[in-house]
Amino acid sequence: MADLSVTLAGIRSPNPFWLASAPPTNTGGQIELAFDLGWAGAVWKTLGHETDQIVNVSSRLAAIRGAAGRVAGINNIELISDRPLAENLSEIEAVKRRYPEHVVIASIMTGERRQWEELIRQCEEAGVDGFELNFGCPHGMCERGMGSAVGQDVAAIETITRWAKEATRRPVLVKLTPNITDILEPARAAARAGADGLALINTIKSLMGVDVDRFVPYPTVAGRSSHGGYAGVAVKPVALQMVASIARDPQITIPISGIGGITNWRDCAEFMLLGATTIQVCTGVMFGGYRIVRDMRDGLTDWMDENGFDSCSAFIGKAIPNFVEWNDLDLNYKVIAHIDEEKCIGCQLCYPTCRDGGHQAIKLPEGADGGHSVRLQGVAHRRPVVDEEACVGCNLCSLVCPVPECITMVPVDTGRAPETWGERCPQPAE
Amino acid sequence: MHARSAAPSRDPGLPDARGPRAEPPWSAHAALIEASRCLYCFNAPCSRACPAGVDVAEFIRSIRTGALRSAARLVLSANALGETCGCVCPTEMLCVGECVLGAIDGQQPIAIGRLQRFALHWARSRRLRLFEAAPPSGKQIALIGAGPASLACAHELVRLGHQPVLLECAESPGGLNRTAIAPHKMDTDLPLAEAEWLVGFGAQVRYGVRVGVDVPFAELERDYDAIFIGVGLGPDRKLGVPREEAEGVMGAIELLHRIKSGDFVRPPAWERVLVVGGGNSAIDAARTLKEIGTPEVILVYRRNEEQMKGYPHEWLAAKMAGVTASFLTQPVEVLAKEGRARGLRCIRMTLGDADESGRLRPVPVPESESELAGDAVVVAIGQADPQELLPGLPEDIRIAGGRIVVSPETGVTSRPDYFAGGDCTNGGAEVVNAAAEGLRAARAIDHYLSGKGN
Ligand SMILES: Cc1cc2nc3c(=O)[nH]c(=O)nc-3n(C[C@H](O)[C@H](O)[C@H](O)COP(=O)(O)OP(=O)(O)OC[C@H]3O[C@@H](n4cnc5c(N)ncnc54)[C@H](O)[C@@H]3O)c2cc1C
Ligand SMILES: Cc1cc2nc3c(=O)[nH]c(=O)nc-3n(C[C@H](O)[C@H](O)[C@H](O)COP(=O)(O)O)c2cc1C
Ligand code: SF4
Repeated sequence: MADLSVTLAGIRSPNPFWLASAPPTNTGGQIELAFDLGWAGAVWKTLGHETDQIVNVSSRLAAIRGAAGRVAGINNIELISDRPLAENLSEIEAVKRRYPEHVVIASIMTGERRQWEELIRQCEEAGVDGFELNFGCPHGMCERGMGSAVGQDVAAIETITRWAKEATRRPVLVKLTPNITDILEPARAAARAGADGLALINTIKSLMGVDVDRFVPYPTVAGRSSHGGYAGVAVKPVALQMVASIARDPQITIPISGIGGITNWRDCAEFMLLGATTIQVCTGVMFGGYRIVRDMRDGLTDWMDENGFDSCSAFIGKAIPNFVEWNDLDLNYKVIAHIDEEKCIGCQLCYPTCRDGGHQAIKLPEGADGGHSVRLQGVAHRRPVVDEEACVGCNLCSLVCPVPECITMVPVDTGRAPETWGERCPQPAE
Repeated sequence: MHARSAAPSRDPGLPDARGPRAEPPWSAHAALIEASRCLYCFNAPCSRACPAGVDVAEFIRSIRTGALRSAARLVLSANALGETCGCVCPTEMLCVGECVLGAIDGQQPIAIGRLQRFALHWARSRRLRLFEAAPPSGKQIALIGAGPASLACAHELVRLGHQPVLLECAESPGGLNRTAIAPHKMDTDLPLAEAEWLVGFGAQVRYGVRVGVDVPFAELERDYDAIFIGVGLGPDRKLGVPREEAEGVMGAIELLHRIKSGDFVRPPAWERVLVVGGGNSAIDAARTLKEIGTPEVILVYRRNEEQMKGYPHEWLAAKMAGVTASFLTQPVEVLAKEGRARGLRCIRMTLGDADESGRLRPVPVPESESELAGDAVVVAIGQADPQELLPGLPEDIRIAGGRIVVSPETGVTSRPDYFAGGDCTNGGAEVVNAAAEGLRAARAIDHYLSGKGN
């Protein structure tokens, strides 16, 4: 059976599944339960200096829903831990004592250098395995010059990371905010300053929606609201792009803990294939409970066994060589849509989709609206057909089709040798 | 007419005198979940299969987005009886039977009837008025009958700015919808509530008026600008065999009406009831008899199971409720003792060649008579012709094959000022057909009146 253990920045972890710094890591009792259920690591809910005043509002969360009302993403306006630092520290100590093999990381955030140093010393005394500098929170804390205010300021990232590195010999991870233009800038800054690893993404600045009867955005606090941080399944594509871009950047060699929209083993495999060594989960656990780690562990193990990977290092980063710039894609490769006649149920959803949002390549069969009955005559007379000349191979119809593997994209021979844009229009060397 | 009585108290352990309660309407959440499964097909086959042309995919989309007014308006503008239809339409043979989701492994077709019912129940329970009527035309239209066809016609006439006046011989509206449709399909009170809601938009109704008897046609022609006939079909047709007048022999509609009114108590002597017929009314009567606790119910039908006119899904449900059948059996005489039915003398049939409808013709087997015991006999072999309902109907209104002849596009009869729709023109179909034909006639009447005004 495949070995799930990993080592990130010198921290050995029995498996790659960590809880992200958030409500699921608020207390020692919660974390012990999570460890019992199979999580290997927890990044403690972000701690501030004992003099930082933290007050939370109610309510704090709002959601966007997808099909059948399932939540696709949430945004939150919660701040860092509002519990007394001393309480957190004694719980950290207790957890580490009971679970010496598990990983406990202190997520921290404060202001002055002296405060950072003090906080780091206290956490170290409590026995944490490492630190995560929270440069990401996009609401509340940034207005006080912390969180994403730091994460958006390359110089501040470097300075604070250096302070931390000088204050401790335990590994220091930097947690990045996605609320910037190019993730490589803060990532490189952290690496330059000596960070031992990167964690990303934190939440995305967002406004979830508006109560159309009361004219107040969500989540509502006494008739008003504020922007929050977006997380959950919906942010996964944003996170993957950032993780992968860092992972393939030759200037950055430190490991990554991937975060954002992870809810199952497949998400874990994807983040790891794109370069993450561990993964962290917040929203997935907030909705599904700690027990979701069972599927992550079993699913990832089975998938590794099926693919002959006996350890995580065998596949971490394996998809990165295939993640290239647009300029490096083959312009002469072509696919076209193919509708499986046996599978087609005649819903005709592909027709308006290609007509209105594609390239007018799908035709209705002759007499399609001639009053045939699906019940009596079957769907044959409703099956659309693809005009293979007009199809540009955009995938749209195959995404809209509700039947698995009914519309597939089939490669066709263009008769032309592979050629990229870079080859066709070489950029003069600088 | 039977007095309406309050629903008898219901002991969950005992069969109910009024038959089973139909399922309650869905909650908004249940509707949302179901609406989310819909694909909103292009050129949606469900919509095309609806005899009233309800835009099924779009009203479900509006339920999905929470635009419930819009959902209800879409249904109502095509089918005023949308709520009862949501309960009683044979959707398996119509919209739901067309749903392409049924073709995906592991998926079920959308419960379109439930969704339609949800949208209209939502609107009706809020007493919403979902349309703006055209400016008043000053035209008055007489509608004979207040069944589904006339109600739908009246609803559309109000929208078009005309004044409909419904003349109904019974004391309440709804027609067969109220009196005959099986109680497991629809709550007994719904047709009345729906009719009152529709009438409340601006129609007038006069109850206890039998046109042709209490009001002559000439008077209608004098007082109204146009006339719509929506009288349905007549009472239960008789078998035409000896001793049919015996106690314990009754028609299916008569029986169902009495059960639904709550004034029927199944006589303890009814251990075994014979139901004659093979159509949906026979199946409904048989199933309802089972549901009020009749120990044995036997369908007596002259053809075989494959040739039944009733829908296969309805027959299957009746069989699951415990109804059995004696096929290829034709009653020739009611057996009676001291004036009380005690069974039927029947003759065996065999199937010959196909008739005009393509079904195999039943032919009697000589010397094959036998007795079938039964404590009561329910006759469900159709309804009498509409002509009987309309004494004094002007002779130039053409009737053929027991139906008032109308133009299929407009519902106009052989006289330009008389329109008709529903069972009296289609020979007995579904509520949805009556509703569609009522609406169609209203539009034609509007056209006729505007032409006449010029
Ligand atoms: C047993 C049974 C079960 C059925 N089950 C279903 C079902 O499950 N689903 C479905 O969709 N359909 C069903 N139907 C059919 C449906 O009920 C009819 O198609 C529908 O009611 C026809 O509507 P209508 O307005 O044409 O006629 P009716 O409903 O018959 O209404 C006619 C009205 O006109 C009145 N009237 C008649 N003569 C006069 C007169 N001279 N003056 C004044 N008023 C008059 C009558 O009192 C009646 O109220 C069933 C029918 C029966 C008999
Ligand atoms: C309610 C809530 C509170 C959070 N609090 C913190 C925090 O205190 N510190 C931190 O670094 N990240 C915090 N996060 C961000 C998460 O750790 C994580 O980076 C983000 O939610 C994306 O991961 P997900 O999609 O698995 O939720 C919080 C997220 C949520 C939803
Ligand atoms: S792949 Fe794109 S262009 Fe081709 S048929 Fe589908 S939608 Fe149209």
